[in-house]
Amino acid sequence: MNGLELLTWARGPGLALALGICVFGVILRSVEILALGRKPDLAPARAVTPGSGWRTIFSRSLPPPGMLRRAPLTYLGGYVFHLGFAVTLFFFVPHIELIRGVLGLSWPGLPNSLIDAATIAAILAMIALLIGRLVDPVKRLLSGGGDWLAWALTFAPLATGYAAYHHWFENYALTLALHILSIELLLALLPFTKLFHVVSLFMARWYNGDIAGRKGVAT
Amino acid sequence: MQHPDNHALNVVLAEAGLSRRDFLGFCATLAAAYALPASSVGAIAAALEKAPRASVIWLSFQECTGCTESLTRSHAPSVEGLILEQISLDYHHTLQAASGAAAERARDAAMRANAGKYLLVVDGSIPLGNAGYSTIAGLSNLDMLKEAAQGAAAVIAVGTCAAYGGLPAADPNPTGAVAVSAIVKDKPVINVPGCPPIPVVITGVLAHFLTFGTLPELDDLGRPKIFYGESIHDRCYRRPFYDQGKFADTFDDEGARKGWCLFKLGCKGPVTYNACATTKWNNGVSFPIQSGHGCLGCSEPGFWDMGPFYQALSMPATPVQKTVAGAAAAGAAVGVAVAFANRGKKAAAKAAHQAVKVEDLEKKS
Amino acid sequence: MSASFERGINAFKEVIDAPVASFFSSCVHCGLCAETCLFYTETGDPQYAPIRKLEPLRRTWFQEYTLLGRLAKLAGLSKPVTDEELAAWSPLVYDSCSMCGRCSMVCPVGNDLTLMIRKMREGMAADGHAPEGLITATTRAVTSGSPAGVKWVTVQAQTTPMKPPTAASRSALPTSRANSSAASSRRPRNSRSSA
Repeated sequence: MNGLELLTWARGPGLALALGICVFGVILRSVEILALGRKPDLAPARAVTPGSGWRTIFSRSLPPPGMLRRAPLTYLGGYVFHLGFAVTLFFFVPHIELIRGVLGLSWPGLPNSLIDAATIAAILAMIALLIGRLVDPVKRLLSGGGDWLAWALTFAPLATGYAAYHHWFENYALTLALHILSIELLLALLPFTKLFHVVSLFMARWYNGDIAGRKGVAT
Repeated sequence: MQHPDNHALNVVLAEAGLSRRDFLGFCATLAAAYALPASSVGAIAAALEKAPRASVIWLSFQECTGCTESLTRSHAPSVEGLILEQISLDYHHTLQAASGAAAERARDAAMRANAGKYLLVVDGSIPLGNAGYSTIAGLSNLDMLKEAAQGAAAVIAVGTCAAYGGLPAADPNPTGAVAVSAIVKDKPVINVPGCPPIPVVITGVLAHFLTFGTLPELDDLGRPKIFYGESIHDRCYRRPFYDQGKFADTFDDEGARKGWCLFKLGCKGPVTYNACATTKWNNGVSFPIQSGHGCLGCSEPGFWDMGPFYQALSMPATPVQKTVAGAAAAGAAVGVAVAFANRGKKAAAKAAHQAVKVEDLEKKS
Repeated sequence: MSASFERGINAFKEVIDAPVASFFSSCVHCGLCAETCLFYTETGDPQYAPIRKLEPLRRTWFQEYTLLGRLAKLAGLSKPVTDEELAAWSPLVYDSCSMCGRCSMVCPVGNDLTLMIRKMREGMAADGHAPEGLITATTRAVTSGSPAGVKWVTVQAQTTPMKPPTAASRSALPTSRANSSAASSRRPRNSRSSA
């Protein structure tokens, strides 16, 4: 199987398989979580705060006062990585075409030079975060195999995509195939690793805001 | 490589009414194409002038004659045509005057007279499914290729069908078509893919063999690197538009009129290696992208099965919606099953609950 | 009846609900909760990272309430929670958490760690891993009415000077009585007139 055949497999059956596993897993895990339910809170709410859960979904994206200074690498690295990754994922024209091919939705893309900068920023942030994870005693203690796996799964598409775009290797089709395969691996494992936070953080933030809201606490 | 009625190149040149200046110009072009130093132009000229006419046997199997059409386009006015004059085309269905038994006799005679020296050119793929799918003079394509390859110095697979199976081998490949390289294992095989290949690429490979007596450097798909070393995308004059994010969305929109990148319209330039963007077609007049149509990727293996021609390279090659819908249903089903199991487990834990009294706080074992 | 490991795990299974499952699913091990925890910021000891204090509860959730965890448990890939482990965690869950809630306010994915500590303590108590002092205090509170072991006579003695004043004592304090009655009678009247 040469590079182009691998690419065609990745664009066809491979993509269908990966998306299938991803959707299967996301729905399974979401049902698994939500169906556990929660007991009604019999205590009267201290404050009536409609929408406190929804508010927290957004408000929790900003660092609370003083935290940016306490953990600058975690916050800045996190922001740069997430924004760089999102810009690359959603505004590179070939990616938009893929989304159009699957969902039928599309929007204008950004020039490649900006995408390039976003990708480099995301890659550098990820390297900084990896070093931070290796060095910081708390993160080291909390980290297990799943954390290193999640890092590799996220880093691989960025690295292979960058290499493919810049034609680092003679066999472009193979590089592109590896890029797509790395994303497929990411998609397939997303529901079953900590990467599932892309879905579950909305639930977690909502519950957090709702629980705090009943106590009269704005979060 | 001697042939009974062979003429050296200088004689042919004079007969064609071309000056030595024209000839040296061609040699310089060839040197540039092969990235040789300027000092080698004289050597190339000398080699070509002395080169006796090589015998060439051209076999056509499951093909459409497009490759031959392409070859003849290099014929009339250009210096590439000289290369054709320079070889002795001893057997070629379409171009030879002889027919029937006479034609086959010519092939036999050439193979005997130049055993071990002649160049075998093949266009079209070879059916392995049933010998009767394609025969010539009662001989199956497979047998004829094996017979002709035995005494050949080298085999040149012209066109994507001969190089990689091409259209006949496209899914579901009803004839069991295969490439030349799948059958000829003991001779050097040079793939010159394209549907059809660029005329100058066909003649250029022949010229290399005549000049150096060796085969050009090949890539991992058996293609001469000098012509197939760079992708269409990298050499495309519309590349700056790709980098700027300017794309034609339809064949008749503003972007298409302004000549923007055709990636969204399915151009396969990024994964296609060929010389179209540099040598172009019809004596450098144009090439598909210049005339407003994306590259189909015709010089790549399996290009018919690379997904829709008119969908961007990053789009799914086959529809994914059904798989995803099925997976969603399966995910919901398994999720509900797990949810019921979880609720059962939780209910059991609740039933097993015993109020913790102060005397229960300590373990008494 | 006594505390037992089974009762502890049973309590864990009872308290794990959708919020807890979503919290554990979301954690990315960023360590920010530690930066808010006074026990960590004062000592620099990483074991005080709030999410770390919940590890036994997390594994119970993973092994009992996720498909992947059930499979991992069957395959022996996820080690089961043990009584010794819960004993080792007791100082982290009780002594090293003041339930101040700072971690719950900062967690970027929105985990309510304080809530989970509270829930985890239910299981820890049922397993007999509540700290000795707390067990004693609770026992005293239930049996004697005071966690500190204060007896009723002590309370009585403490409250005696605060008994309502007698007629004799009232006449002994004329000024204060007049002031207080004036103050108490003025307020209702004012409020009535303004109404």
